[in-house]
Amino acid sequence: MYVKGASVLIGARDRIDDNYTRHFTDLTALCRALGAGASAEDIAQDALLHAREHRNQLRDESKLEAWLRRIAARRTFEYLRRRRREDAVEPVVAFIPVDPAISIDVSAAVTRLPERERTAVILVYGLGYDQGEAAAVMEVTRGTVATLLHRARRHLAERLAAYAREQGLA
Amino acid sequence: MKAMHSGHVSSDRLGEAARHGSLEGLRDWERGHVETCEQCRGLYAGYRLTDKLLSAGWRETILPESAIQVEAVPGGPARFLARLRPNARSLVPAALAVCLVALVALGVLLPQFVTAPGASSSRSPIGSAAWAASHSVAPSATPQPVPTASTAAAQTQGTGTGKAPGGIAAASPTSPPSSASLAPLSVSDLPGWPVMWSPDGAHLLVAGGSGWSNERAIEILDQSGRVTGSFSADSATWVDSNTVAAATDAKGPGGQDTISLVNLSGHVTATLSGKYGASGSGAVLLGSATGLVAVASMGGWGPSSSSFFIWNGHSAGQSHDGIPIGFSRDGKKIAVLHSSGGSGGNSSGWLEIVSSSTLATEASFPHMSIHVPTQGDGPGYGPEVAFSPDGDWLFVSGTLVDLSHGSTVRTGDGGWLPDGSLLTSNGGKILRWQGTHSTPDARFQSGGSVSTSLHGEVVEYFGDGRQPLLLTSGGSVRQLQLQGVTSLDDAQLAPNGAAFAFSGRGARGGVTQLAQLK
Repeated sequence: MYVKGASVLIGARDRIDDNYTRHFTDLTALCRALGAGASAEDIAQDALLHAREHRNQLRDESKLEAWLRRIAARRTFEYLRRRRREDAVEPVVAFIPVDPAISIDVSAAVTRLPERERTAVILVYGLGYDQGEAAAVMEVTRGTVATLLHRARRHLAERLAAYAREQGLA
Repeated sequence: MKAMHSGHVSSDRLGEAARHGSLEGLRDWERGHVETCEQCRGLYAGYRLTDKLLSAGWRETILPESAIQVEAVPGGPARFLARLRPNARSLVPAALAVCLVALVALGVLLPQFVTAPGASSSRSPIGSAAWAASHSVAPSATPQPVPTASTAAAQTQGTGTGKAPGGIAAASPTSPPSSASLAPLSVSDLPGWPVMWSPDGAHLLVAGGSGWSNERAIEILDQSGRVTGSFSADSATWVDSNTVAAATDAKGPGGQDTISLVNLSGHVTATLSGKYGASGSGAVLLGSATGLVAVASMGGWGPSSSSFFIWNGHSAGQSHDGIPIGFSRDGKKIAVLHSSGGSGGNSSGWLEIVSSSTLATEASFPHMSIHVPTQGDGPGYGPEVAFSPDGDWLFVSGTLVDLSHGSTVRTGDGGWLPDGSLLTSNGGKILRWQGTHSTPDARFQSGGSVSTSLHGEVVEYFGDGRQPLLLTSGGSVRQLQLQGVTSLDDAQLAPNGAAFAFSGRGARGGVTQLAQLK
């Protein structure tokens, strides 16, 4: 039992180190997308260090990537909460869909979705995660992610209805 | 029965049509209606634009000032003010001042002219919030506001002429929620999220920061939000209403995992040490609410060996294969998952029901595969599992398992009601399940999520700016008012229905709070 545990510990550590650049790039993109802005790299680095120190908590080695993302996402949410408490100014940079034919004002409707809906939309549509991966990052069920995406789409449609009609999409 | 087509086409139907890029898939009457209805045509266009937008390339972009402006929350004073013309808006403070003076004058003069029959002439010190909390009772000596049409309707609902299936008094589906409780609820801030209520609803565990795994400060709060104790652990769960089990993983390869029982003051009352994680992950705990804790040694959520034993704080029982995922309400049965693998944040496997005292198999379903999330909202390791009150059904993360016949049906998330029916939110609809048969519950609004108490209270909450609704155990629907909260992402109603904890968003960002209902 102990030998098995030890081998997994070493395996997890080596996989983090061997693929450090790939993990760092992936986590930085995640943190940026969730709104960490210029702090994204620091948070990603911090998450990787934390993961190395607590690698014995990884219960299934095949889930290393999901585990790292979860740590990075948690830290980003904590950072955002702290920033909101300290400074009520809304961020001026956001990760949003950009279509040359659609005004940025319209695209920014994504930033005004409720927090969890916005996060689900960013992970699935913005970063291309499948719903299971998004669920693991958000620490909810896959069904919850599906529900959040369904609600987000409806909310966006309601908000964009007038503009869409002007664009002749009806 | 032939369907009536008097209203608009549903949002879901329009969304489905937009996904296919054409109205062709709609029924004849729906298509005819969309062609003539500006609102439906607009929503259909909104869906098409939304799909176009979401499939565009995403990038970090500097938002123009016009896009940063915070949207007015639907309803409430903000919307009222936003709708006023600028010159009228400047008159609002003066108008409010006049109203205030008038109210004060009324408060001083009225009692001198009016005395309620049987009431003393002294004015009650009860404030509006307290009145809102106690309004459903009819105190004989407390001055009551004159009932408006809506409060009268609410009081009628309270007396409850109708009964929903299963014995819960049902409000009329067409009755609006009571506005009598629109005074803001009393709330206190929570130090983190998620939370877990004690079985009796008198206390709750709150994880500092976010999430339950990784060692962190965990606080025990009473129902009013006062901290009664705290401790540090990797995960925690309630063993009974006065005891918490906490797991701390081994520090380094030579260390031992520790499981402790902690009282409401945060003091350790019993400890068990050992090596529980097959992959160095530490123990995973599942509390019974009746004094037992299942301690699982995890071999991972994949097709690997996991086992567990029962600890009652004094002695540890024999080991049994599988991952314990839920105790029955009386603590006598345990649902066990035998994992066969998983991917994308989910594990699947077959289900076994065992006796918690002997670990003997009571039922097994080797040919029925169930799916559970490897990570969930709850403490420890996630899946939200609950036996029905009679123990014949199992609700596993949005799936209902018929333990008598070994079948499953997808229901959406929700919770049990005391009569044995299940209330869920599925695709924006609130459904009430009697066995595997569901019917929409018209007492609730569409688009919400629900949290239930053991006594039958239900809170429906929304992520779109609407204020939550409370269905009392008496069957009346009340609209709740949370000041400064614009949307709710998650809510946990106490098992006794006396309070609910929620995580949401306010004007200044995320909020995690505890609201008193009684």
